[in-house]
Amino acid sequence: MSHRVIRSGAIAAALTLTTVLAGCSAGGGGGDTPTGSGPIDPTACDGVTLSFIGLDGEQGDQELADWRKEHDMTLQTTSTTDMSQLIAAIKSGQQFDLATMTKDDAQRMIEGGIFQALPTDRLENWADMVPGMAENSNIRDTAGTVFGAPIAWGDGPFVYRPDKAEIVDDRLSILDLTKPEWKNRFVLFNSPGRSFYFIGNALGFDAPYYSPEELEEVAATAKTLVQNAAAFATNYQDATDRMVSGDVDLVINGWQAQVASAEEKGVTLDWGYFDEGRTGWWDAIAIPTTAQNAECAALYIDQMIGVDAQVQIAENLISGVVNTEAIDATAGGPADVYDYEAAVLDPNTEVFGPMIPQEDVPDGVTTYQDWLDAWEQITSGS
Amino acid sequence: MKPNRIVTALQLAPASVYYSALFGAPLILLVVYSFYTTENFDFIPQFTLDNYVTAWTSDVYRTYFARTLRISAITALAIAVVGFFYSYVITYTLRAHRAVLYFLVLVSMFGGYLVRIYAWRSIFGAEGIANSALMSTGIISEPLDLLRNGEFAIVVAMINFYLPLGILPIYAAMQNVGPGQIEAAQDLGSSRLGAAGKVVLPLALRGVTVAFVFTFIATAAEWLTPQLLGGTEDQMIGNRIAYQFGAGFDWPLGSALAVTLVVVLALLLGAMFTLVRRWIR
Repeated sequence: MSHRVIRSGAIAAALTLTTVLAGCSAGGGGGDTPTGSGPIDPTACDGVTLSFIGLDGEQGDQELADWRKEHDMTLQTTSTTDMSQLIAAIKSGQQFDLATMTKDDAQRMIEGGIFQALPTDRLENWADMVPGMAENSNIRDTAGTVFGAPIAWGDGPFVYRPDKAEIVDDRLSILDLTKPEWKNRFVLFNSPGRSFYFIGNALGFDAPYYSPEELEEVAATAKTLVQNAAAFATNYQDATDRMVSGDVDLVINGWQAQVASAEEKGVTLDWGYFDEGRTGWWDAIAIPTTAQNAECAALYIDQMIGVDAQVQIAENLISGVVNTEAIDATAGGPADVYDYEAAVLDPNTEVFGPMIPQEDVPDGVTTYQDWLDAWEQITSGS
Repeated sequence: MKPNRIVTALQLAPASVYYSALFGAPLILLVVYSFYTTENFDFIPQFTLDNYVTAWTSDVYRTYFARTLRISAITALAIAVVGFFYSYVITYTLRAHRAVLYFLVLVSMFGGYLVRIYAWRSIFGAEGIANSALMSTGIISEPLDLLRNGEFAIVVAMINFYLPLGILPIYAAMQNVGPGQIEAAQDLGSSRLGAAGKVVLPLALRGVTVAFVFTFIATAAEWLTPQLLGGTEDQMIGNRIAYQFGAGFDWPLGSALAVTLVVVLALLLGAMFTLVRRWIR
């Protein structure tokens, strides 16, 4: 057999194999689902190993260490800050029992079949969840089924350096940041969500549901905002570093934890809220469709929303608690910075309402993909 | 197959398998993905050219490609020029110290990439070292925009990162140009600079071309430097490709953009090599 034939055959085989592999639908399915009724028996999970993928610090590694020891349970963690990596892992069939679900990606992930329904009727601590979280539409599909349990939240302030920016009563309008006096003095995240939401409210539209004409107007204002900004911050720590170094005076997408982080470096930060409203964040823990120990994963989640774990999570992350019984326990601590009445004790809280268009928008209303396309146009500079 | 060919094939097998598995296969996979679409995070393996139509005709991506090629060309040209002069100095002027000076070039590559970006972050910025120094000396009263996050910061940082990549091939090419040829040129009335331009440059042009090509290709794929040192309108095509493979979860479009970048670079560099070959003749 000649070299040419062998070489051609090898190339053809490689191409065929690659095409077949690429064409195979990965599909994340085939996992376990919780069955039965009534509270989950903890002893049934003794000795089980649970695997988690998601944001480091939100898997209960420290908070549930004693509880795991008591039940001889092991937790394996795969840390990622990239939700696409999480999605790809589950879609390719990798087995995980627990995963992070973030607020802004929740609807797409639920629609995309990443998670399975959470048996909230079997979670003893679900009844104590703050109404603003328990009733939140983002953790549900269109039929109202719950897919994730929030474990931490923040109320989305802007954070700034009070020694460099005079902000009266910690209030600011998003439109102020489009003015020349704010040129190169702030950063924002490279995402349209908060900017479009606040600008839409400032222009008198029914955020986040815009007509194409309204979106055009919002995008035009957002373009000025983006041109005025010094840079895109890659994450909260990057934004904090930029304020600490004096490069910028303010970050639009803020978190109270940045104040503590800056204080360690000898810089004082403060936070405030935009006149156009508040858009909070939450991170939830959910059960992927590839879970092999779904029942025990549900039990673990129940522990994560319990009082003890919630108090520790709040202190570690400087976030709000989701268990009403845990609120008082955060008083005086580092997480005692949230207005629970305004943020989460109202089941129809504005703070955790939809900031971006949800998956099923009415006809004539722009979708989140339209927002992303508009943002791409803005940031390209074209 | 003759026995010596079998032996040769076996000796090449490990490298071939490694190269095929870790370079060839992913590249083929990238091309295959570029013809698909996604829906709800699932690949739809139906052949479509939509991603390429978007990559080639969208105003947004044309802007990204144009900016990327401009920044890469400026960076590569600067590296070629600086690299040529540095290589000339260590080869002919400071010949006695060329080992140390060459080692200094290599040492600069030892530092971590991210560490160096953050080092430049401390230099640029409203209160970075550069602006602070100029303000403290009274040369300026307010921070210069040029020394903030922006295209200038990206270019300077990339020149710093990729200069060694440019110096190495130029230095290697100059080893074939003996000092005697420069002396001969000077004996015939040429200045030192003239000798560099009319004798050394043509003879080392292949090295200069390789330096330009290497750094042009490397910088065209950059995304971390523009992300950390750029402003809000300084993103390069690498940022968009990274986005599509990340939060955008549109791997087919990301693949099409990546393949388009490869094709555009191949066409440009092919044209450049042709011109250089004609000039050398």
